[in-house]
Amino acid sequence: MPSLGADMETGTLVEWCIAVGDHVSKGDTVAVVDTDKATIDVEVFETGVVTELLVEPGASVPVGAPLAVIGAADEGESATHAGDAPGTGASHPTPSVPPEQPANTPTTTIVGGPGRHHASVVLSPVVRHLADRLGVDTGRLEGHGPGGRVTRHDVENAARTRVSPRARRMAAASGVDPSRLVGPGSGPGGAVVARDIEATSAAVPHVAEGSAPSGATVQTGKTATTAPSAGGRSTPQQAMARTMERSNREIPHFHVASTIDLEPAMAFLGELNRVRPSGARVLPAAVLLRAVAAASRAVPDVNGWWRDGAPVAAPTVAIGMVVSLRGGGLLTPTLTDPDRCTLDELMDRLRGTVQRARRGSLRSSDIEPATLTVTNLGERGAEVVHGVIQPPQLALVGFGRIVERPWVHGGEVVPRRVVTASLAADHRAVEGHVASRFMSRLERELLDPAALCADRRPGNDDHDPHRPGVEHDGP
Amino acid sequence: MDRDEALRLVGEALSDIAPEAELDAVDPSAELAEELDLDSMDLLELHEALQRLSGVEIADADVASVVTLDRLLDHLTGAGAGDG
Repeated sequence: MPSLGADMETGTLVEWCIAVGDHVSKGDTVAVVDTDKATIDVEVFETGVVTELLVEPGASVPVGAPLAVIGAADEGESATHAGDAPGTGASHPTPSVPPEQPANTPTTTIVGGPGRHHASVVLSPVVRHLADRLGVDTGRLEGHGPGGRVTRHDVENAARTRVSPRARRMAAASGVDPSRLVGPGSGPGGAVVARDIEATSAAVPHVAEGSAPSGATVQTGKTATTAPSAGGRSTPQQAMARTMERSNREIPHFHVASTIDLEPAMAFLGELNRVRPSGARVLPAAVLLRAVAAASRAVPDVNGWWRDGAPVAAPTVAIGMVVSLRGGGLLTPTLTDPDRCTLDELMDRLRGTVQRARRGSLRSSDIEPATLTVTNLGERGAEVVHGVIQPPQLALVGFGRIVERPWVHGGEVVPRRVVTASLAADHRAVEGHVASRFMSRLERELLDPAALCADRRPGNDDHDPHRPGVEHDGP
Repeated sequence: MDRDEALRLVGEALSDIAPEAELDAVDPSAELAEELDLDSMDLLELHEALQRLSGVEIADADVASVVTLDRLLDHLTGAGAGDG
């Protein structure tokens, strides 16, 4: 059971996407796991043949428990299906393994229950049942699991339950977990709308506060729902609340902020995007992310974890991005080394990750442990945000709305686009002058967008005009 | 393309991004992103989907001006006229 979040202790196996005897390649989705934050497609780290499944669907196992056994690929049979597995075409960031985190070892012997499926069966019973329930014609489905297997997410995407924000709010208010609503509803395209919730909530029993959310499914009229969660909030929101409480309790936060001239970066993007179709444009968010990564390489004190009473520097830069979900809730998928691919690759990854987060189809590679988190309030956000650090990380970078303000440039006051960046840091590990160094490096990166956005490759640092070196104190 | 068709395409483009959006309820002269709670990523996806569905491109320079539903429909129908 991989660790799919910093606080995760156990996970529930929802279903297997593989059977004994299947070939799997690194990156294939092999199982679907429920954490208290999200349902995640788990990808395998190894290439080989599944020899044993050790955990039954429905079972909860602790992080680190083996789920299945993968043997070496048989000789003579090609095990390199990397190109064959549709849906895994986009390159995955190489999984980064944080030190002393035994739950996330790459030698995944997954523990699973005895395989009941043969390689020739395209649908597992769980997926078939789900398809029946959602009214999805599986004969028309394209499978994205290993060997073209149809997975739960393939079915869900085909059914795509859409829930209106108003319906979500009503669901939450009446004690129904909005993240577990299953349609079709009576809205356009089968969307679940407010009147469906009204019709359903009358029949759904209320659960006493404090009791754990049940997985029972209630079929009422056109809308199936699960039994309500305590207090009317979804399980992921409860998990976030606990994380925020823990952060405030354990981490002595301090905050620094700087307003940064973003005109050069915005002009750079304007030039780039001017001649590109919408599908190829790069958003400021990608550039901000890249700058944070570059700055944290130069000031590594802010990039890591607090472990056993001491700060631990992370071996890589894996940025957790706060993504807001329609109807409420946040997810923080991870982008690894966003400054070590091309800008276009980064934008693709960013788009894909945000889409998967918003559609509830995150993969395990999306939620590897982050080394630093970034929260970006966006175009209609406030001008500055002082965030809450995600334990066990050491820092969190915040960006407010990009605004046009009077600015002194070349000795004159002119309108420039600027952004206020903030750093929340753990004062056990980071001191004021280190935080300031980070902010000034961040500013430096953003003031030279051409260098920041130039193609960089790992190991090519010697050719970088801005060689990422460790910053030293001094004028 | 007429305005009704353009409206239909906007609805279709939005179905993946803001599935619950009821375009009839949107104030056509208000900022669409505000009305539907869309961020920059959503807008990018919307413009791309519209380009795919209608063949009409929204140039980067026009993005700032097609902010309301009315102006978006204007753009889609104006640019689409004569192109079939």
